[in-house]
Amino acid sequence: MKKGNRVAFSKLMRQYQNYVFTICFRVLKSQEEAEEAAQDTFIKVFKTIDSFKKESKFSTWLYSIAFRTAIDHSRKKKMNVYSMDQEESYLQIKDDKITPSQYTEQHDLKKVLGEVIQKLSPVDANIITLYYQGEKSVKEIAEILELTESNVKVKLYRLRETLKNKLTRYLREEIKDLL
Amino acid sequence: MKHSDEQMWWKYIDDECTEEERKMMKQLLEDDPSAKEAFMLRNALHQNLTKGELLEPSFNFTNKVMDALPPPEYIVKTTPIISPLGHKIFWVLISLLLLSVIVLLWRTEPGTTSAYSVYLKEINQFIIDSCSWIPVPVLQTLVMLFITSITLLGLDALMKRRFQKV
Repeated sequence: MKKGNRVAFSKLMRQYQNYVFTICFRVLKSQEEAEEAAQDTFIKVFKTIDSFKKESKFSTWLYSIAFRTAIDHSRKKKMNVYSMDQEESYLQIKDDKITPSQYTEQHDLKKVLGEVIQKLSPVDANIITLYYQGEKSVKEIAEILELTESNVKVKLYRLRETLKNKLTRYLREEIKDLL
Repeated sequence: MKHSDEQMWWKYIDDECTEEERKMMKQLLEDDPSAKEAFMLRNALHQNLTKGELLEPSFNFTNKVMDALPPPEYIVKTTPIISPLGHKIFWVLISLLLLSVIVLLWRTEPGTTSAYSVYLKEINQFIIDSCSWIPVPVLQTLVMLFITSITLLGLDALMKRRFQKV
């Protein structure tokens, strides 16, 4: 796509807007803020599309811009959602929202899973999103989030173990017929 | 369960095990019911994460972004009407035309030449002689062409300045 081609850009935006919005939302945890960051991402891409060097996939380049833009937004708004020091505390997902009453009310693992992911740190939530929804490899995720491959691998493993432990009750319910 | 075993289950689910590891895990699944449960819990999580959907921005998001994009840049590619060589030829012709104008003027008012030097008079005579074979209507047409060309050149320069900048 050449710079300035608005028709082609509109098509491209429709194709990727949910991905970009989700990445931003994982960082900013707010619909309004995430939309603002996603909008800024697309404007940046529109202005700098000529600088895309095809060394990586277009989606990898786009998602890395989205992630950086969302982080910049959170810093500007002093939202304090991104701090590597907080990674550990984010991993300690609170149980307060997954009460036994909710378990019976919302016996929907998908919904609970979405809520739990939203409680993760921006980096962790995006690792899960990019790996499962963005269908990105560990190498690509490392490039997008500016981490090392081994770091992403370890985080992915630890995150899934944490999620498994937090959601064992729900998961057991799902597999009870199969055991 | 050991830390390494947990990691191995994820390797198995992500299809990253070696052939040997895969065989070992399969054997473990067949022999050990607790291993089967450990695998199934992780696999259920894996399946649910895969089925997870992306979040969607508001309905008018696309329009909002399209409206916020910078205005299109109208770049009018201009190429000169006349090439550099054409310019040179043009100015030679213009000089000749200018001479023809002077000749035309002198021919209509022959008395005006008397005040000039002999040298200039000779040149004048030479020009008159060399151009005398050109009929007056042709000379008039050439003058008109000269004026039109000058106007077009001026317009060309003006348009170039107007549209070269974005």
